[in-house]
Amino acid sequence: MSKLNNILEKKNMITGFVTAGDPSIETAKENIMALVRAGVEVVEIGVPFSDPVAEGPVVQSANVRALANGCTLPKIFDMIEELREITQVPFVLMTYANPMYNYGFEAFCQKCKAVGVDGIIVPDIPYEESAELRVLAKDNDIELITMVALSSMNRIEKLVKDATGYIRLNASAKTFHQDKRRVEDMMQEIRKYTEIPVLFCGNVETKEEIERIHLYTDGVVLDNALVERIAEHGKAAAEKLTEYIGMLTGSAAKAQLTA
Amino acid sequence: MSEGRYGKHGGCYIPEVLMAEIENLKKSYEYYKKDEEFNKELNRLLAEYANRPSLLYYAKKMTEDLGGAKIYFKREDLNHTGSHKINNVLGQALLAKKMGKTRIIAETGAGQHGVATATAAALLGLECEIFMGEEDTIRQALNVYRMELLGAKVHAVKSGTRTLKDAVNECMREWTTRMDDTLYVLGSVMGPHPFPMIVRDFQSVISREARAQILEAEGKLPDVVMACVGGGSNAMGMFYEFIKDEGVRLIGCEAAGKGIHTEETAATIAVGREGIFHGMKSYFCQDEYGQIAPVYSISAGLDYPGIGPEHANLHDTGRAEYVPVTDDEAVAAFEYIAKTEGIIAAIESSHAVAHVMKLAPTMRKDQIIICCLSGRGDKDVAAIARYRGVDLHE
Repeated sequence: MSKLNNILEKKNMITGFVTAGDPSIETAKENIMALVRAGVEVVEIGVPFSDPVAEGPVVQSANVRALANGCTLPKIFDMIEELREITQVPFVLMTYANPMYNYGFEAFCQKCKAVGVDGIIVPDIPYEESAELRVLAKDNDIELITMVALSSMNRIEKLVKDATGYIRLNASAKTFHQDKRRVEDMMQEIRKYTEIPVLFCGNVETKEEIERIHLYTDGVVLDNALVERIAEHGKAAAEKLTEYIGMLTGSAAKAQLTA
Repeated sequence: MSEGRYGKHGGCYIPEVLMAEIENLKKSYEYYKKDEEFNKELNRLLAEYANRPSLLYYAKKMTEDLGGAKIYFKREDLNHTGSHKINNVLGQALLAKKMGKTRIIAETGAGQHGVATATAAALLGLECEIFMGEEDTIRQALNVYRMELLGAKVHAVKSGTRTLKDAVNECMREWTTRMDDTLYVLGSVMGPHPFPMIVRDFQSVISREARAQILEAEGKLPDVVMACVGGGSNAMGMFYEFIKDEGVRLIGCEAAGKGIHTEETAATIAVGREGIFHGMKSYFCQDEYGQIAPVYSISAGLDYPGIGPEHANLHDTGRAEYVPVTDDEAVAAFEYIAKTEGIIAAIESSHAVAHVMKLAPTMRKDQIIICCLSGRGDKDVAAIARYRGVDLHE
């Protein structure tokens, strides 16, 4: 059982994505702890890749910064191991297929278990190619997170019926504003097959947006909003992240006290 | 194991957001490839517009000069738009039209695939946008203008190494944001299934013709069939119908750049390792952590860190051989074939010509090599001049 089990019943979740090693491993570690202290339910940690084809310009730049500063998979595992001494918030490692394939799928899953990673997301391994990885993940008590897009409507049963951890609904805040109906329909379709949490991911930023998205889903993943703040504030980003999430959750005072 | 495998290679490794559209493409292609009307239309375009069949030309002077095997060139350089790329593009653009798409997008390295795509779009009345690495837009400025003349919008891609792989990244991203009316016309035998199969099918016209032509001319099959390999579309097209002819050696010529023992190379089979990238499992140039390596070749069309999955499997099974050819060798071949045969061949194709120059003298006079001249070299003249230190103003 991974620690993602703890979020199964939760609603109105705020979770966050950061790229490991952006701009350095040390800073990323502080930023992750800032998110944890601000109360996020899950931290998604991106493994930087030379060619992140599923990312927009904001996360692409974070990948470039991290790689330029020498971030590697072994360093990320070390970082997670160190973080596990101070927090038990669920960590989900997001990696493109090639760095993981290069490490060895099995070795990767074993290492994830050993250092305390709870789930993995692999944007370029779709369901049809995931059989081997699903088995390895299960054997090592980590969840292979299912990604769903608005274009997945006719594939939902196959994608989600055995999904574990949570479902990451990749859309964009802009699409949500233009067409809430599509998100609503998608949620109805997903709920036919599973009750596990659905987190909306795609450039969500304001408190108002989050409140509205929370009406339809179980939570949001903050991605660009965090990565942009890290890009802007560099080594001083941790404080800004705590402040920002505190503003979103209305717990600014609490966050400051425990920081 | 999933669909679209070549041995252990291939597959369909793409973000979920594209999967529904890829399934749509697969179904449409399976339908239209058997559709009589579609094939009639495509064959008419190939014959009346693209100038097929292309010539199989006996290079008498080169044969005599090199003093070994008889050398034939499959003249894809004589196709409309000046390369083999048009074979695939007419097929895919026609498919796009049948699927009800109104817009096609494509990546391009040297610009040949971009020009071919822009051409097909103009002919068939489709909107067209081309993604090209910024570095390549400089190396191949004339092709950029050519695409614009043909009505296409060209995006200079500024991410990553600003070359072909980054153009592919950007094109995939663009497709993700607009799938309803758009088909990604992939230019090589790479990417997620079904692209490697579709492109190979459309390009296999090269070997279908060449096989019949050589039997007509010589009454026997060739000993060696040769082509340059980046992603590998002209090579796959040139090899395909000969794969079953076990006595025919298949040789792919990779771009070694400044040499396979330097960092500045693009010879994937020589220096790459197995990986998963750009939708496929295959061989890729990468570092010890699985980061895709920046590659280099004088040829923008071969400047790619991977190779199509069917080639990877032909390598694994030993059915085809892959050899590295350096910039220096390719440029020497570019100049040699110009002076000897009066053919200005693309710098990509010149990589294969360079290996012909090495191999032919070691073979008997009753043996035959067919080399694919995948494209013409007008686009490369300025770059070759620069390589030779000639200050040329276009």
